[in-house]
Amino acid sequence: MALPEASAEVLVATTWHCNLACSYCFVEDRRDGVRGRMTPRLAERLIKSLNEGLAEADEIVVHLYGGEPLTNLPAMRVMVEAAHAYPSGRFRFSITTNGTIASDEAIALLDRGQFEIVLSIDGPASVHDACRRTAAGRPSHQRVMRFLSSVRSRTGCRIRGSAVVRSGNSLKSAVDYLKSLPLDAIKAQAVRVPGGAPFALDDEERRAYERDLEAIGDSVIEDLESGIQPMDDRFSGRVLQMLAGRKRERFCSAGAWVFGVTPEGVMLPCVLLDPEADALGRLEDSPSVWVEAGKRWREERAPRSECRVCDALPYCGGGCPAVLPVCGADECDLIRKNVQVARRIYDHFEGRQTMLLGLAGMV
Amino acid sequence: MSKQNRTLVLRALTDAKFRRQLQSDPVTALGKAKLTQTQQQEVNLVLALVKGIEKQITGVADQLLCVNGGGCRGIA
Repeated sequence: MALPEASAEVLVATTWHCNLACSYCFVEDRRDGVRGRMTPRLAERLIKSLNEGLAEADEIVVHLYGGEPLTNLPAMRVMVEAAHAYPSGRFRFSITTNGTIASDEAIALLDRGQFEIVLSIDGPASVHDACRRTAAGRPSHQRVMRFLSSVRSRTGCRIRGSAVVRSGNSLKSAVDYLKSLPLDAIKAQAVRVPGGAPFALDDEERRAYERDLEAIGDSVIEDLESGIQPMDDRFSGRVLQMLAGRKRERFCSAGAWVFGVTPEGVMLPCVLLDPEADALGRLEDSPSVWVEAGKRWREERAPRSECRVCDALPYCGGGCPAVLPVCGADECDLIRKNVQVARRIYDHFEGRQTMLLGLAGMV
Repeated sequence: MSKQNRTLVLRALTDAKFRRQLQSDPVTALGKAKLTQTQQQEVNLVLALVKGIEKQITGVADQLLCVNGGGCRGIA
């Protein structure tokens, strides 16, 4: 049975500007003022256009991205207010942020939009500040902790801590640190760079990473046995997929239920893709333009020949079209490992499968 | 959540025919003479939970730093 889809997610880069200059960041330096920032007018147009173009979706998740989205509060405010004009539940908001801007306005907006916040925290100050600094070289960990505290005390937002695992920062230490913080969910993953690049895990670190994935799998089993929803939910989707007996026909829904938008209003199948090579249209176009172009983009992409003989394909769908060109076979190795651990979790509960519903919060 | 409802969620998730019947004719699906208001509410809850799981399954797979992930342009 194919996966039914009813929820749309649109990754919106409201700006390419960022107030940090993290040493492993891939975003080109576009700190040039107005260019590269979404205007309030375009932000308003975005909500209207998504509502029309994704009329069949039962909800639309607008995920703000960048750059640092909290450096463009005017666009964010317009989106949140425009979304409130639609029935409750039509729009939901999510944001990926470096957590260094905790102004009253930013915190109030996050609460108003009931954002699900993905907060970048690599580890304790010594680890986090080694890479995540301002352009002037100032550390950011202390500011992130203040942001976390403000969001916790002044909003009802759900917060997911997200760490980049890089050379010198193991998966285990990142996960252990995130679990020590007042977060609702966590995610810690290997930096996406070509093998051999600065910050890339070396061979021994990759082996340790895979062992840590096994240990996280053990921890998930322990949590489920204890009737607890695991904080680290990296395996949840795949285990539930196995439980439901679904096959993943594509890696994701890019071009159908997932889209990306640049600050200039270029519509893409995903914001991670090339705005020139993969453009589907513009926000100013009739929504049917980018919707139809998205269908064509999707139809033109089938799993690669090597994927057809991979036993992880039903749980992978052929890999991310944005990440595979960067990471290649390394990415496939990680996906296979994740599928293997997910299978182990699934098999552990053979004959007691209702226990697996804890992965969906049914504990 | 009750064990009975978890069992219903699992069945509705894995048995498409049962799920359709639970939506269209819950009385027959559950083999009851009729449903109380509370039972109907529970059926609605079960169907909503199954829909939530379907969304969770459909979401982008686990390793990426994009949807529900974090990091600059999903890569770092």
